Amino acid sequence: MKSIWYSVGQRLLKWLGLAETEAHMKSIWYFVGLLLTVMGAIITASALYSLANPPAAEKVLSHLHPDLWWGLFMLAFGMVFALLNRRKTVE
Amino acid sequence: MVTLGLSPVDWLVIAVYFVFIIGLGFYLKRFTKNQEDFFMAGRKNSSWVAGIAFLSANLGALELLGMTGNTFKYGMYVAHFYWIGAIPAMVFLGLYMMPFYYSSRIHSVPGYLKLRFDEKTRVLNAIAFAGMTLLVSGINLYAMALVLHTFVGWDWNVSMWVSAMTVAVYVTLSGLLSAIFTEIVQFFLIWFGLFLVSVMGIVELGGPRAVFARIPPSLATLWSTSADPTQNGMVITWAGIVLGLGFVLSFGYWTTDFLVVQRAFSARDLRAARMTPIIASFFKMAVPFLVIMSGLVAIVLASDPKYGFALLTDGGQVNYDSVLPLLIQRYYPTGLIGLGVTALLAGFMAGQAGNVSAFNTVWTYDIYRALINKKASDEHLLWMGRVTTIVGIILSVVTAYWAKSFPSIMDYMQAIFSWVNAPLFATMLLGMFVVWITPNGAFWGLLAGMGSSFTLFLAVKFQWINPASITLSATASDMAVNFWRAWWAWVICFVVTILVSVFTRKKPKAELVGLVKGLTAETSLQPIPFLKRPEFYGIVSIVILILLNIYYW
Repeated sequence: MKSIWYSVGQRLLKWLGLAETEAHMKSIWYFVGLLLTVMGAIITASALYSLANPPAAEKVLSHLHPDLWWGLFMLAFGMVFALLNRRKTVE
Repeated sequence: MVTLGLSPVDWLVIAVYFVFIIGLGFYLKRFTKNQEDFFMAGRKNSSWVAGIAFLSANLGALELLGMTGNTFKYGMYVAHFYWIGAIPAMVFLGLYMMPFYYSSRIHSVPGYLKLRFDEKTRVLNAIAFAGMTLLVSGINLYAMALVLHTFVGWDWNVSMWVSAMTVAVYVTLSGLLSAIFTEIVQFFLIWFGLFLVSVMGIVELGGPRAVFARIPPSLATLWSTSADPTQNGMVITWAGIVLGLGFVLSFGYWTTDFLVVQRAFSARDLRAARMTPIIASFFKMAVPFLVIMSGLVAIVLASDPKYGFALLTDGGQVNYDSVLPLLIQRYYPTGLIGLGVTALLAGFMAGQAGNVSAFNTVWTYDIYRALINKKASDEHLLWMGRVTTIVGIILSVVTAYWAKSFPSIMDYMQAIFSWVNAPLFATMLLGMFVVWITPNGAFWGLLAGMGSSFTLFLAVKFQWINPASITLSATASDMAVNFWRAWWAWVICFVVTILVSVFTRKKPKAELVGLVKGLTAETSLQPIPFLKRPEFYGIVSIVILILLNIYYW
């Protein structure tokens, strides 16, 4: 069981370019992109769930769905940032 | 009183942040191989990385909450902290002071004092800075726990220890490198986490013009009410703003405080180091959109009962720090609340990491190696940096508990900066631009400046003197007294340094090459196109500053 998780973790790190075999340090912009992508995805998913199941207590201006638009913007911004900086390293 | 209820999605967003920054610390550890990597981030950062870290080291959550609250109290005058109270000093640092700092390959600001003057001046400043850093770090930690307890309902001890331990882990692993990386992450989280607060406020109230139209003139302008202190929210004259904030406090903080200047030292070359504060100045000018605009929106919302918006009160006192959390609660749905809280947490923790990384460098180089172990090896200094990080965090926690039992210590935070930074700016200015200033002049001037600032603080606090004798006006706010005290400390340091220098032995000019204007090669002679020179961007920054001040006059 442990070896499966270890193997999955190693593959994920390798796919992200963060495996221990990588000789050069990734640029900070790449990490910023990764974090914004993950957070944007969570906020977008939460916003879509709220669209289908509206909460009992509405916030001011909730009809504008700020969580959906902002989540999508974060997701797009994060993905572009991560992809553009995926191969950049600090010498 | 708890105002922000967190859902599982909000908790997930917060958890992602914690896992991410600890993972970042472990990732960076493999690239932290020597003391240069640990204390100076390998001196390989671009001007953008160093510039954003330079700004973020100052952009803590305490500042975001405090300044939004101050805007509710003082109105647009708070923008002076971001514009005249920052931009000229940042540009001056980049254009005129950075060549002396960077070219001498020092590890810290006290390190410059050692080269330019002598060991005793370096140690005096190092001890004062280390003490100030730990005190500020502890007070920040206490403030963070207080904010999380008040607005999110978290346990005081748990939020403080979890945050402190997280910072300890990632700073111990890779020092300044991880501090800078997390500061940049924090910068993006603050913008993504808080930008919508101002936008939603503007949308609700019908646009920026509608916001300004509904604010009293004393709170809506920058300079037009500054001739008479009774006509503006801050109860201060333009002279107090220009001399106290715009000159002494601003230059004292932005050009000599090692916490921010250390980020520029991590740049990969002199041009990148000079560009560091100049790039930061553009972002600094934009921060009022988050802070000032939110505060102004809150003023309008609170002034009309139909909006149902009121600040929290503690024991009959209005809690101005509640402005930002209340606006987050008003506008943010599930998920975005987690992002807003994460932005505040990131701000607190990056501020803590900045203080600790500055403390471990000053302790290791300017106190430990200078006084205790002069022959320490590279490996030993790296080890000492890691040990000092843990000790610094523990001392911060102790200070935080002290602050908890003695809450009025929070009031002293602004004062602490004027004790250490304001006189140091006079010492630095004279040291960098006047060749004949002597080591004894610098030492006694600095001591007199710090001593007089502290004495003036006590004199006003315990009413030994009338504050009007400092502020030169019949009425003055606490903020005005702070500005003027900094001005007098600077003047005293400046005068004493010159007087003592006239009568004491000068350093040979050969020892001052590269450290003083006139004995240093002009950097502008390098063959760089004008549009790529720091001078060009410095001018652009100052022009934007002037336009902003005219627009909001």
